[in-house]
Amino acid sequence: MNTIREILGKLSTMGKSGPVLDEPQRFLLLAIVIGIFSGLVVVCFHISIELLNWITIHSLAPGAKYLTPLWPALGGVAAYLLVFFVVPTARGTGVNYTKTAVYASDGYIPFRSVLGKFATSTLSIGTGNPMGPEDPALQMGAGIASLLGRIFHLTREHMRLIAPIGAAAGIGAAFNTPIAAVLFVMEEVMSAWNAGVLGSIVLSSVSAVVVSRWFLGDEVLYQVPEIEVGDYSELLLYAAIGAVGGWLSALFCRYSIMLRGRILKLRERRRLWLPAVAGLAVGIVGTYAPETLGAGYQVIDGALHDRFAWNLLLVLGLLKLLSTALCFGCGTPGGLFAPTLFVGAMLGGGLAGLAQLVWPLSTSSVAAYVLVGIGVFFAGVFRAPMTSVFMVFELSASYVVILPVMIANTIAILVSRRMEHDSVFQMAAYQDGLDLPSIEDRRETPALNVEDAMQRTRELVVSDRISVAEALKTIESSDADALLVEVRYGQWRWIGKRELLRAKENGDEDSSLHKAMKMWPVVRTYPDLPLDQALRKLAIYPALPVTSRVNPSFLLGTLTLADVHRAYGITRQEPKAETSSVGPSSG
Amino acid sequence: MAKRYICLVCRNEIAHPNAECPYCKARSVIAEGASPRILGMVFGVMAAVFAVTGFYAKSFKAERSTRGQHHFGVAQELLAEGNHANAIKEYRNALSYAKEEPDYRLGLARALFEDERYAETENHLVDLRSQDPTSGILNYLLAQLAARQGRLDEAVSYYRTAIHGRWEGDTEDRRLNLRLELVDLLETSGRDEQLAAELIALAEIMPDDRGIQHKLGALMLRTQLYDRASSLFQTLLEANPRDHEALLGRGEAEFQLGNYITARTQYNRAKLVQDDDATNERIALCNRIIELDPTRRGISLRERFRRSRVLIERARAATLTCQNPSGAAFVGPLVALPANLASALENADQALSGRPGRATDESVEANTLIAEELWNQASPLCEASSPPDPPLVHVMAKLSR
Repeated sequence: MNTIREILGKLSTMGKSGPVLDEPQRFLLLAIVIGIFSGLVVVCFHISIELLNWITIHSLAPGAKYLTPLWPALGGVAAYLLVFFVVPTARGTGVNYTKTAVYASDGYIPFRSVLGKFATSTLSIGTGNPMGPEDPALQMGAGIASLLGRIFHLTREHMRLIAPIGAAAGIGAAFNTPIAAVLFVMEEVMSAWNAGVLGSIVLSSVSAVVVSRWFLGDEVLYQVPEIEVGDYSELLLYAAIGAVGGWLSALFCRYSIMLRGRILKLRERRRLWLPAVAGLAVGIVGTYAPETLGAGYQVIDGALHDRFAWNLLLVLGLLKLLSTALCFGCGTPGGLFAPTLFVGAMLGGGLAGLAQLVWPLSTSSVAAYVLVGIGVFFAGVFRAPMTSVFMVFELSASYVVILPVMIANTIAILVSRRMEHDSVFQMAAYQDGLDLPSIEDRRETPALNVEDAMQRTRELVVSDRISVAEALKTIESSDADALLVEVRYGQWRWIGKRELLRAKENGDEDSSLHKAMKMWPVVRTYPDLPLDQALRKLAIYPALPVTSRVNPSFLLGTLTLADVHRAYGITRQEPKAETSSVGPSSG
Repeated sequence: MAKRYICLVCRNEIAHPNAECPYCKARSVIAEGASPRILGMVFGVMAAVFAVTGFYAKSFKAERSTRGQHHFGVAQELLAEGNHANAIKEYRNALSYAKEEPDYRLGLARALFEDERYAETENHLVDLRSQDPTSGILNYLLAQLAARQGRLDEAVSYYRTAIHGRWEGDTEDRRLNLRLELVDLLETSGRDEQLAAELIALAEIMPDDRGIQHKLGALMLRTQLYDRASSLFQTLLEANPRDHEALLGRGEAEFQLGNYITARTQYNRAKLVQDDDATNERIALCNRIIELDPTRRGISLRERFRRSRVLIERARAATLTCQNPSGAAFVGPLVALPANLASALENADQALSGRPGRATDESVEANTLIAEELWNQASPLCEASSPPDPPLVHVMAKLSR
């Protein structure tokens, strides 16, 4: 017992004698714990959705199919009522909720939202609403991580990182694709490639997937048949699918967000019944096309196995697109991940069938087009290019289709972005009054480096053999308050104007610097370093020598605070004439 | 071990959460880490959630399995009744409960195959085969599918993998049936070389069924496996000496091997069992060949000499017939004979002109060679027309062997 206490103690913190697990290690351990918890919750979530689906849609007798519309309507309204009266924190998309937690509330996600998301999404998806479980799972994972972070009293900086770790675990367990989960969180939730947290995200995602497979088996969502890609002329077809998919995804984003915006303008009480209306519409469609109900993984599996004719695929895709947009707009709980894949698969398969009728050259198996379609629509809606490529790779376990997927996805993103600048999550965030960062925004405003600010002259550099008078002359001819001196190979010192003046007063005017003055060591910086890093050094040193990384005595330039200001576009206010008063001008 | 309190500014550890940092004098202190009690609690909760999830998942799987099996059972019945469309629906329902269940997917593939939805069938079968490449049943179904779609090379390959694949239950019978199916496929597609190879393999594991043996014997005759056909029919005759089909078969095999006397014997026996024109014609042909054959054992040197001269005469006559199939009715210049053929014809004329010499082994040999040379040179000319003298054709074939 004592031994266990001791181990737990060592795990929990560092002993006086030194760390057993240092902070990063403990963080990694916590990532595994988060992964396990998230995996367990997502397994229960998955089972609950399935069970509810059996009880409702599947239990209808063949003669009672006309009752189908009732279930999504009831499920939708019940879920929405829960959100409205019991768990308002379960409202909205999980991605934006998690992102808000990361960027606005120090990683805080109330555990109530986990329970709420679980219950509302189960009610909605289990009764046949055409939404997916991945986005709620993502939020649940993030919520669990946040709770554990609070229990473990993590620092604020770690708390901010903990939510994405849980998010990766949630989505990994829900979709059974650990790599895609990691990339999705990096692209959509973190909106940045943060190497520091990558290890933890991978660990949590993998441990969640292991737990999920432990309980639910190794079943992948789709059985992807063997894929062969025909000759390279087909790449034109894939490019065409990319263009059509990109166009359609932009339309989907535009009109579903437009509908959502109109509905958000209604009074809240009036919005209560809209999920029921959406569910009823979905159910009516589902009576004639049951494939459009629920997440639709089996239908994607069917498309991969050439089950449907091309025209039926296109019809199913269109119906799913409309019903998803309707449900999303009306606020029916659930995610867009699965419906996006569904629409993409139907689009890819349908266009492949059409191509086989008219394309004069050979074409690949339908499965290849279905997979490309999945990637294309996903990339167009979420603007997550890496995720879209690796997801297809993880699903198919084949490199064969990667080239077509990359080409088609790139085109889809370009087309979609040209039509709609933002992804569906960003648009929803703006609609909700949130200003959350996106990876695209960050790409557009790159961070400044030292090379963007440094002066490529030797104006501030002097030899330690020159006299104090010469040094004073040099410093007075520039705006700087200090000079840089190279004393030995790669060893730099600085001297201030004040010290030079004092040396002059002491009568050392003609003495050389190295004899007359005490010079202070200064660290080097390099042109590729972020300006932020250099700025921290400038808090200590008045100027920095910018040298080559391979030859520290080879000076490339100098950097001062004024240079940094200039690089950021901050112009220094010149002091006014002595007569002018300090402070706000009157009048 | 208690919680650790850390200064947010300088990251040094301090004694109390409310204390001022002794290093940087800041008051921004947070607690980091968790007490063993909390850690223990977390792991305890994890164990509890694990147990609850395990129970939940187990119940779910059991229910899923029951539902899947129910649909699978219904589907099997529907498939047996030939109600393919509904069987497919039920198989799909079964699969919706257990995607990875190979039996369900196999059943679906079978139903789709019966419903002639070949593209989807193939996808499922290829999928399943990628997980179990040596499965006999999967390769067999793929073979059937490929055969039905006219992809014969693939079909043969799948059949062969299925024959050597893994089967449950009565393995040998299955392999034999597959070989027979493959033989049928090769026969109907006219791939005699592959058929011969398959028949040789089959001969090693000859089934007991006499019907099959008859069929295989006939196929061996077709693929020119005369030795094997003869011994197969001999085996059949040992069990039933009055087996008309086997008698005819053995007769034909021996005839093709050039054993015309044995062939005649078999035909005569067959005639005793069932007299028909075809058998009588075959016997007559055997007789004419035997009477013409100069190499037949037991005949006198004089007779051999006579026959060798007859052979030259008939070879000459056949050549002239080939040169002018219309005979006397033909008016106009005849086709010019190639130099070699003209020379062989001249040799034949010389051998036949004047009085026949003495009957010696050398003269018989020389005559036979002249006849053979003439026949060989004339054969390209005679290729277009049907053989003018069947006994001559057989004797010449025998001589060339």
